[in-house]
Amino acid sequence: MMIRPNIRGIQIEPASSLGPSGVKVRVSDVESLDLNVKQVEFRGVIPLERDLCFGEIVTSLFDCTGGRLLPIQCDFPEFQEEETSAFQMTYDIGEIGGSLEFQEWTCIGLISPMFINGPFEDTRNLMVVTRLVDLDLEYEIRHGQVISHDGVFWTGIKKFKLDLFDDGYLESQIRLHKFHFTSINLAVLTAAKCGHIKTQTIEVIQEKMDNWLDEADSLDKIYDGYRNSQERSEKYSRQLDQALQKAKNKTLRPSRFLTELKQRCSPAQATELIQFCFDVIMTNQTITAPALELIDNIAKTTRIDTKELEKIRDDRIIKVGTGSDFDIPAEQFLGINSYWKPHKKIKHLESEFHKWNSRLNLVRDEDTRENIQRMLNMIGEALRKYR
Amino acid sequence: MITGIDLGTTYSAVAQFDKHGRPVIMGNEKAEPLVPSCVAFFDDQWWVGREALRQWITGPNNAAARFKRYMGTSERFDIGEDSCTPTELSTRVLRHMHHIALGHLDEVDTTVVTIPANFSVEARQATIDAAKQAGLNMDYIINEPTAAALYYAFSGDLEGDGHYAVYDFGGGTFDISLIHIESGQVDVIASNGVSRLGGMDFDRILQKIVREKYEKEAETTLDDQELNEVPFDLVNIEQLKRRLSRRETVTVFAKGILLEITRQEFEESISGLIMQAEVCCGSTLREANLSSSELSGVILAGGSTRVPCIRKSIEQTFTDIPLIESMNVDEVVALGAVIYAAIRCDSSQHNAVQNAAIAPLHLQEVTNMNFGTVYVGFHEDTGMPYQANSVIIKKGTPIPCSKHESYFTMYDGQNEVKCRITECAREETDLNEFIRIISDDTILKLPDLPSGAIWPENEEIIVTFSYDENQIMHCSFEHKSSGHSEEVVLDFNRASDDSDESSDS
Repeated sequence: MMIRPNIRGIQIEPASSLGPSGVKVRVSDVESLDLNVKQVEFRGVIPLERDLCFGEIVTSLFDCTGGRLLPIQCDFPEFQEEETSAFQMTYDIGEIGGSLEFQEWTCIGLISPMFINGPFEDTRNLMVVTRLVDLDLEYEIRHGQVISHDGVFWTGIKKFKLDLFDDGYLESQIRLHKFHFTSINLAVLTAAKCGHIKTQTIEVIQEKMDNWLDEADSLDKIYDGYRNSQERSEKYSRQLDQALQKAKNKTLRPSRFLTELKQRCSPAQATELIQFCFDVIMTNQTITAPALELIDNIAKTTRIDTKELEKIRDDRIIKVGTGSDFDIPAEQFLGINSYWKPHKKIKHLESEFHKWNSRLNLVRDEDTRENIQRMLNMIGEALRKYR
Repeated sequence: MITGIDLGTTYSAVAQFDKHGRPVIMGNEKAEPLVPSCVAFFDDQWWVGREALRQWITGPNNAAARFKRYMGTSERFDIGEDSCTPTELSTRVLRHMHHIALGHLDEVDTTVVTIPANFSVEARQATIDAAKQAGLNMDYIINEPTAAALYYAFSGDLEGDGHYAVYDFGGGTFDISLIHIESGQVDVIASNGVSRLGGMDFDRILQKIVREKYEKEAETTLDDQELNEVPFDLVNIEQLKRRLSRRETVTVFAKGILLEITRQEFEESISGLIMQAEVCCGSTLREANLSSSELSGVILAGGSTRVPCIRKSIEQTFTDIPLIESMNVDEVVALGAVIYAAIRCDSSQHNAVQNAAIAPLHLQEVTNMNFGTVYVGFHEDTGMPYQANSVIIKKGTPIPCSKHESYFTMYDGQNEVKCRITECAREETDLNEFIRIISDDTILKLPDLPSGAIWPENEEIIVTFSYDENQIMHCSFEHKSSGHSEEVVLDFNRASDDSDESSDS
């Protein structure tokens, strides 16, 4: 898995001075548990430069492999930050003043691979960041990064290694964004293959992008490497602009995107993409053989079930406006391969005829009925060639 | 007295069952057996028939024709300042046919109206509504090809008992039915059709041919108004089609230009449409597990069967099978309809001769749609719930019939079940727009258990659909453990609740 080169890491404040008493943070195995559970411990004296009334030690966790700090997520709300799902454990100290002293190793938090989720799956370098905060002063920690410093006055850091087995959350996010970018390019390409790209078509693509961005915003609790939703949105818009420019220059090619789909695309994503491409065709109101060929290629690449493809196609095709350009061979339109023998083509055409003819009577919308009738006429014409 | 009305797309006909026990077509005041299914408003009154057709040609804004194709849809036809539904227009045609009958008979007790074999429930319902609004006492409707078969079973003009195809190619629809006739027992085995395939489609293609030829010769473009004028208007085009059925070449004098139209070019243009009828015949034979060689004859009905290339197509589809058309193909459906009305009537309404004439006749129809219910399933991979359609009575099931299926409650404590009934022409499982939910306002409540106990999951619900020969379907949803049940009755002959029974002018 390639890491997106421009993925942003978390910036944290430097560790505080260890002080004369040699304050230490350590991460050790919990012997009694055979689940690779780690405990974060603390020993020493933290010299306080001011009076502390109510204190708390807040522990955050990062993946620091490669030098970039990426927060570790947790599935349980009890061990999450208030605003995000980044791992956070708190250790209540109570009322203190002067200096804070731990003479023995004191456990201030537990880390179990069972309930945390790192950005990537592998043996990773993790970093524990412990912070002493004053509960009477405001402090804000988001994705492990201190946003408001007033209440944080001591920071300790400790690195350790841990095997993370689950699919990383950032891997999933990157894959998802990559799929979105691939989809944007293939949608533009589909429109281009219809002969021209209408303004309404671009609007349909933008609408789809907006839906994706809204979903991403709603998942804002999970770190995705972008500074904010604005940056994410700009990135998507850039993808669309570039794809449109390439389409205009006739340099937008499907091969790269099909290869990407082949490498990673779930059946649900494949279905979503094909629906998206058909939506583009429907808005363009022009159906051409190259556009359908591209959709067929996407279906083959993603190994989408033939029946599923047929279902999507049927669902979308009957919504093409009656005044639209529909001038393509029925074979192409109905998923017939040119290498099929005539009897197979006949059988397929007859079965398509039977299906649409049966449905005609149950459709209420007159435009849809006209479209179905047009399909029946197309099938009738196509059959003439083979019978 | 009883009558049968063939409410056709282009023409309608009405027949009576006379005192000698014979079905007879009743002509209008000019003794014309066929009345154009056309409605117009001019000279401050409504017109139906030939006058309306004339108006449709010269001033189509005041008239409507060929509306049967849109029965059961929201399509509207503007006539002057009125906007009419296909049901309202059909009401006027049916009322007109009823008046023709009253010109021959003292009174009409019962009428049967015909419909295409694959009319949807809504189109069927719209026809029933039209009949009720026209003031007809109509308890039954009959599929057009079945009516044709019934006439031939009655008339004795068949080659004997056996399997027959009824090939009904009318002005607006094409129907094919396979039937078995034995000693007056008429069993429909399978029935299909193309609801938008008929002579009017051929007319439009022929109009296009004439138009293109004229525009090429005259180096001009015809506008919509000119297309409604002689010789491009559809009535002239229909005459031209009839001439092409008799001659290989015909000439048309169009605005000072002589155009030559050949039968070959016309047939070439409509061959794609005829192919649709051929496919439909093939699939109906397969559905009935019959080969064409097992047929004893092909009964012809509908004016389009006169078109030579359709004849050729029938002969190719049903090789070496005799074509049966001893009766006028335009009238046979109305004649069959009145025979059906006679069968369904109480025998006390007939005289002895009439009772004797229909005594050997019995009819068994098949369902023309799949009927089912909606259930909730779970995706194997994701475990997510989904709604799906489950067919209980399949299309083509002989009527009367009764079928049942069991379904189960989904979770502990489920105490009610929504009872939904679906209709679809093809066995569809996904709940899409090709499945119509025809009833969904009934809820089966499971009875309360003592001391606050709850029903466990997987409680069996037995769903039974019974379709009787009066076209009434009883749908029962029964909770097996408690015996509690709900029943929904769908009467496919009854006018809908919002059907306006009041009749104007």
